[in-house]
Amino acid sequence: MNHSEPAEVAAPVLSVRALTKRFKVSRARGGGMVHAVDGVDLTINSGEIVGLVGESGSGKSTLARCIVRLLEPTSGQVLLRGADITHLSQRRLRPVRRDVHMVFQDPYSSLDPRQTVRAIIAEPLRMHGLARGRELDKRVAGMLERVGLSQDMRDRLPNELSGGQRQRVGLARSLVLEPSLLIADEPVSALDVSVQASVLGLILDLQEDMGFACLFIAHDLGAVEAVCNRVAIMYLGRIVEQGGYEEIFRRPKHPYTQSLLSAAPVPDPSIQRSRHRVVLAGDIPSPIHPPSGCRFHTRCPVAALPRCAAEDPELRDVTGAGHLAACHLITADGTPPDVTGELGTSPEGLALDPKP
Amino acid sequence: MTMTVLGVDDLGVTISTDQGPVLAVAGMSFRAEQGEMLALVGESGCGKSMTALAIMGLLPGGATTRGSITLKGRELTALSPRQMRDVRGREITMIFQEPMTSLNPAFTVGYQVAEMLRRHEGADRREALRRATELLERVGIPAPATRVREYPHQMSGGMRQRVMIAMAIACQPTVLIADEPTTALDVTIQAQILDVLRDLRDEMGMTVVLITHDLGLVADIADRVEVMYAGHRVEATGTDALFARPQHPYTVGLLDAVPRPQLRVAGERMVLRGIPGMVPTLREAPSCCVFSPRCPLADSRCRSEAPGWKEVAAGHHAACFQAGHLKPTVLADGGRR
Repeated sequence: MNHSEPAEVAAPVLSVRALTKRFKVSRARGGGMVHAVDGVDLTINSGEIVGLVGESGSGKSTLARCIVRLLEPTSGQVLLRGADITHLSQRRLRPVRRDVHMVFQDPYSSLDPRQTVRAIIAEPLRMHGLARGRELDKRVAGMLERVGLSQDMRDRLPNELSGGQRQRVGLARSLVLEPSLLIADEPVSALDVSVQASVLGLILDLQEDMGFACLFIAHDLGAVEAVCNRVAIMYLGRIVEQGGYEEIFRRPKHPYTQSLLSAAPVPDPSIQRSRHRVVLAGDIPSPIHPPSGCRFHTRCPVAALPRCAAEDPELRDVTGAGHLAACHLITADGTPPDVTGELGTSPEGLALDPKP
Repeated sequence: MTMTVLGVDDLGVTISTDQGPVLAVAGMSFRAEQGEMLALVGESGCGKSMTALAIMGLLPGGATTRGSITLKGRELTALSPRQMRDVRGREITMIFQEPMTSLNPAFTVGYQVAEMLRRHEGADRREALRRATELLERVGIPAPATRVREYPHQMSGGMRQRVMIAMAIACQPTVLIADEPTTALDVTIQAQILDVLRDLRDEMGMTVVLITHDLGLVADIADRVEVMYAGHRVEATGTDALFARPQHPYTVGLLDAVPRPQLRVAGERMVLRGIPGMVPTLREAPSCCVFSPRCPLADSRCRSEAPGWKEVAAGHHAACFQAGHLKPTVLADGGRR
């Protein structure tokens, strides 16, 4: 990392406070409100990669779009390096846009098909009036090299590139202004398996090299565990668990996180077939009428207390060391419920592979 | 005693594109036994879906095929379109990745499931609808008597995929082809659908051909695996052997590309290795190993001669000159650029 360890006094790169986003549903469609994001708190420190995991409809993309102000939050705050950007006008947002960039899932629709690779990467520099002429060419050439594309790609159009190459162009465009925050919304899920690993590796290289902080949104748990420092798990607009990647993946506390880890197949038959898998019943409920109490109680395999259906659990530090979870069933000493019956069977908890 | 239900021999599929003909499948052969869960694995463009469509007789216009496809010994390529329509939906059925585009939005799901029984078994309307309700229940749709009257848009993705499965099993087919059946679904819903497929296979003794790029899925559910690359089969063996002793460099690369975060060391950067290069588009059968341009072990022989299909252990085949003495660790070290 280029940047030194985050100092205690320095403001985090991103801090999201009690962010809520609701969408109106037209009367023709039954009316009401979609509670897409509901009171989310999230902090990303300098140089940190934070994973945001959740199923479709959990609100993770809405949260990302609120952070970059592609959507206007209903309430709550977004602070970028300590400065509140929640209510800035589009005009005053412009300098902020230099500092936050986004990479999208689909490298086919997120690049202008009529622009050359060079024009795509140069556009942010031009828009912000940061470089022209030879300096512009130099910056574009430097960025191409950083993302592992040869210089003769410069004059190609997106349709002449493979999916992996396009995503590299997308990364080059997002990083050419050296932002302090990169928001990557499912950056590899549209790519083939053999290409995913290369692009994930590239994101790690670039992060090490340039030192940006990153919000990494994904549903692929393997990818998240491989690249993230911290992870937040979302369910129906809420963060239900958050902590260091090892804590979340090896010692998950929330029944939803445990179920999610249990449901994701491990690419090794000898492990996969000996695991006790939890298959959650039913679908994710509608965010128009989220369940009362704990939002997960309708699908929770262990929900037992009347409190689960009545009282909304608070996201609290259950270990005293920054591992947050929102579940009534976690005891005061941090002992979690166990949906798989396998938590206690090894010191590694749910660690899924045998000792190397 | 196993019985070959589906036999594919030297299947070739050429499709026509704006840039001229493309060889989508180049001499694919495999057999699927009674009650077996066989996975066809590969990345986009490897020809796995084209193989499935060829079996179903559903190739796009302008496609030409060669080779033989047999179902319980009966040659399907010799059937007339009318005869093939009777086979399709009754003896071989298929489910697709995106259930919304495979269901007709203008009809209730009950009607669409019942249609299978009316078309193939001549059941009358009432009887067909009654059995459709039973089928919905069988694939785990709650309140089937109500849901049977709903339209596809009123259902979630997981429920729609269950409806597709109900249609596919309505006539107790011999073979079910599932083309990326869970790719569009969330992980918790994916687990539900896999359980449905597994239960049905066990109960009905159906042969399932699972087409996927997801090695986690293969590890979970498949009995045997055929790995495809650029229209060719490159390796075939039992699931356990494939993961434990892969013998084709492409398979090794594919297994290597899946992140294994369990091996991540705290404070260190995770090593992630993809396969450099990209899948070629074939215009004609190549006279070399198709994987050689991307293979870390390729030598001059690989670039001038196509490797044959060779047996490296009982029931384990691979198309590579080095198959049989390929050690994954050797590849990992020697293959690092």
